[in-house]
Parts: sequence; C-alpha cells; structure tokens
Amino acid sequence: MSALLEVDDLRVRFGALEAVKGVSFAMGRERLGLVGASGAGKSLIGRALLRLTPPGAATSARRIVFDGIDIATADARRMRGLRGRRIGLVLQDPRFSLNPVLSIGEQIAECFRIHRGASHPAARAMARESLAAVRLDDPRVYGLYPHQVSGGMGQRAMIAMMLAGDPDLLIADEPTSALDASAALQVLAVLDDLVRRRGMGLILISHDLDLVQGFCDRVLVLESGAIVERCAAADLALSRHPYTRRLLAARPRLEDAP
Amino acid sequence: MIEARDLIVRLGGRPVVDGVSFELAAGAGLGIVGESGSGKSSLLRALAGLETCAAGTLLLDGAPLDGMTPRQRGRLMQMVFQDPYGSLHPRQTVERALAEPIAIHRLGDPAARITAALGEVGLEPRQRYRYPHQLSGGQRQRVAIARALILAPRLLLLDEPTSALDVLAQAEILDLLARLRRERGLSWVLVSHDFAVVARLVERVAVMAAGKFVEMTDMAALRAGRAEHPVTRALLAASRGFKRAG
Repeated sequence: MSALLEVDDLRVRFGALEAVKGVSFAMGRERLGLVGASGAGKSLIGRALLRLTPPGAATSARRIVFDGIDIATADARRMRGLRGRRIGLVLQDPRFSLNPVLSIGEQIAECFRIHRGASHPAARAMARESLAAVRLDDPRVYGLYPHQVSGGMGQRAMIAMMLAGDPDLLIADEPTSALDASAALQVLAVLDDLVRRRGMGLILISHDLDLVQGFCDRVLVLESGAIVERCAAADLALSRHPYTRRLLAARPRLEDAP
Repeated sequence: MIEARDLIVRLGGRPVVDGVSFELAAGAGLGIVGESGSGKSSLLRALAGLETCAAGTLLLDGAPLDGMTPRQRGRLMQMVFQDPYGSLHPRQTVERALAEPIAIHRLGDPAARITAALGEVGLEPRQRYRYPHQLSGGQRQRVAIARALILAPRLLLLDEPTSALDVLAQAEILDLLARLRRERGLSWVLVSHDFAVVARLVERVAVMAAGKFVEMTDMAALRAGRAEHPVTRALLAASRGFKRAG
C-alpha cells in the first residue's frame, strides 16, 4: 500500500508546553483511529495536518507529505487547494460548523460552486444529490436552516458538504460525540458507506474505543501528546498497554450493575 | 419522593412533555432515556421547577411543587447539568460558587462546609481558588456535584451528567455518583441517551419518545435483550456500539 499521508516527528508547542510530542505515522486509503483522553493532542494532530492549529501554537515536523505534497512547506494558495478539496474535515458539533444564515442546501451548493466550479443550477442539483447520499432525501431539508435540524441531520449535512470536494482523505474529529446514540449510529453508517464506496482514507479522532474498534482498520493510542500504542483495531481488546487498558475498562457497559 | 400525574409541558404551544405519569419512592432511582428532542430534558426541568407545567399534578415529598418557595425547593432537590462550563460562572472561583448556596440558605461556617464538600467529590482544598477554565471537564463536573450536594438535598436531578466528558472522566464521575448515592441514600432521576451510562446508576428505566413514556422497564430486562418499543430497541442496539456492515 503506497502511503497517502506520511507524518514524521510532528510537534505542536504552546510556549513551554509541548502538546504533541513527536508523532510519526503513515497511512494509505484505510481507516485510522486516533484515540486518547481529552488533552491527549489528538485534535491538534488533525488540525496540524491542515495547518489549522490555533494562534499561539508552534507547529514543526520533519515531514508531512500528503500524496506527494509537502504540507509543512506548502504556500497558502496550495493549502487552500488542499483544505476541503483533497482533505475534508468534519468536526464535533454541526451547530458551530454550519453557517447559521444560509439554508443547508445553499451552503452545500456553495461548496460545489467553489470546489467544482459548478454553475448555480448545477450546484443546486449536486447539493440535492449529496443530501440524498447522506440519507437526507426529504426535499424539504434543502431549504431548512441549521437551527431547524437535529444534531444528527446537521452532522450528515456537514458530511454532504464535505463530499463536494470529493476528498482523498477525510479527518473526522469526534463526529458523533455531540449526538445521541441512535443519531450517532446513523451518521456512522453514512460515513462507513461513503468511505467504502469512494475509497477514501479516513482519520477518525475519538475518545470512544468501542467506536474506533468497530469502525477502523488500525488504531493509534495517544497519551499526553505521544503515541503509546499502535495496533490493528481487531487486536485492541488484547492490548497489554496500561493506558489502553484503562481506556477500555472505562467505557460503561450495559452489563455494569449499579 | 416524586408523584407526577399527567404532566404536560408546552414550549411555544407545542407539548414537549405530553401526559407523563410516574412515581419515585424515597431512596429510589429512575433513568429517563430517549433520543434528542424526546422531551426528557424538558421533563427533568419541569421536575426541578425550571419549566412550568401547563397541566397535571406534581407532588414532591407529598407537597405540590408550585406551592414551594425557591428556598424550600433548593433544600429538597438539586440539579446537575450536562455541561458544567455552562452552569458555573466563568468569573467566579470554585469557592464563590460553593459559598453562594450556603449564604442564601444561611447555613453558616462556609469555610468548613466548602472543604468538606470538595473532599467529598475528590477535589483538593486548594482547588477552591480555581476558576472554571482552570479545571478539566471532569473537575468542573465535580464542582457542579459538590455545589448540588452542599445543601444536602434528598433528591438529585441529573441531566446527561457525563456526556460532555471523555471516557476516563466519565468513568470517574459515574463512580463518584454511585458512591455518593450509596452513602447518602439519595433519590435521583437521571436523564441520558445511553443505556450503558444509565446501567451504572439506576435499575428502573423509562423510555421516552415524542413527549411520552413509551416503555417502563428495568436494566435486567434490557440486559437480557427484552425491549418492546421500537425506540427502546433502537437505543439498546446503539448502546452496544457500532458494527461495521459487510
């Protein structure tokens, strides 16, 4: 498998505090899970891949290469061509990611105009298609505003928008943790289907080991900014690493007694 | 502890709680599980007196809720919300947040009470000088729990108390709540969308959809996979986690 993304010695610093401490990994068109507790640095890694780390963060890496493009040295124009177009990003809470004053359909159509140069009528038709692809087939959804839809619908709209760029790599940062359990399953089913059919690479960032275990091929476990374990998702349950074991044991289960 | 009969709560004319009746014995716990928008949080807010019931009767400890003064209510029950960032004042220290209920209820000896309350939820005495943004999510939720318990209420209302936390912090808060409940013999109502979280804290569960209780069941039945209503079945499947197709 040729590497779609190669990260070598990625570091993110806030003043004296090193939040990401020399992380290296390579991935192909596969599903890679990044797991860890809050503050482990997993979201920062996702941001750093798009050069979207917050102000005040000093990011360095020996190499970050995406499909032959060196992200660490690419100019702003090159980065604009990557973000949303070749690398998609879906964040935790659709309420903060969607534009509150544009209807769902119009903002998806806007992405098709920007990323594909589609005309207004063509972009609208494409937006309807991508809404159908995320199982928002009801024609009324196009005209609804973000505050009128549920969290699960908003998140699926975000995914529909991401499809406009037809990216090779999707970074999904806690895409379901703001959703209730049933809505989360629907969003995951949509993601699963799209990744499978389009052959995208996926980085799933989550603190939920069960989720990553069920969804991903491979898992990187992060503790305090460093990768402490790498394994196949199927082998996660057999992990001997104490931190991974703690994460596994922490998940509440139906079998727990009060 | 709670006697609710045919409760109706309207938001903008629409009934979000639509004829809910249940009873909760003193020292017992009830989980209310439903999807987003099912009305579970509105029901909990109505129990706390934060939403006005359009119809129905609500007795707490035998007395009608709307006849109580805010102070009586505060002594009887307290609520813990989902996001402690939203429920703690960003410009007030932990100490000030905890001192406020003590002052309002004229309990006296605030310093000793605050130290005891912090100890009970596993926080260090020196953390009383911290502001909410200087604490982790789990620590903030501990402060919210300490504030709820400082008046020694007999009924605790919990609205998704761990869903804003990561798995490690969630496990700690669930353990803390379970211990506090054992020690204090609290009655409580827990709202969540996740049966696995509810399983840690209560035995009896009401499943809510479209403002109504659609199924009253218990954890033993759910563990055995027995669920009547489609919503219960969907939530039960969801609590078992994502399984990849094919």
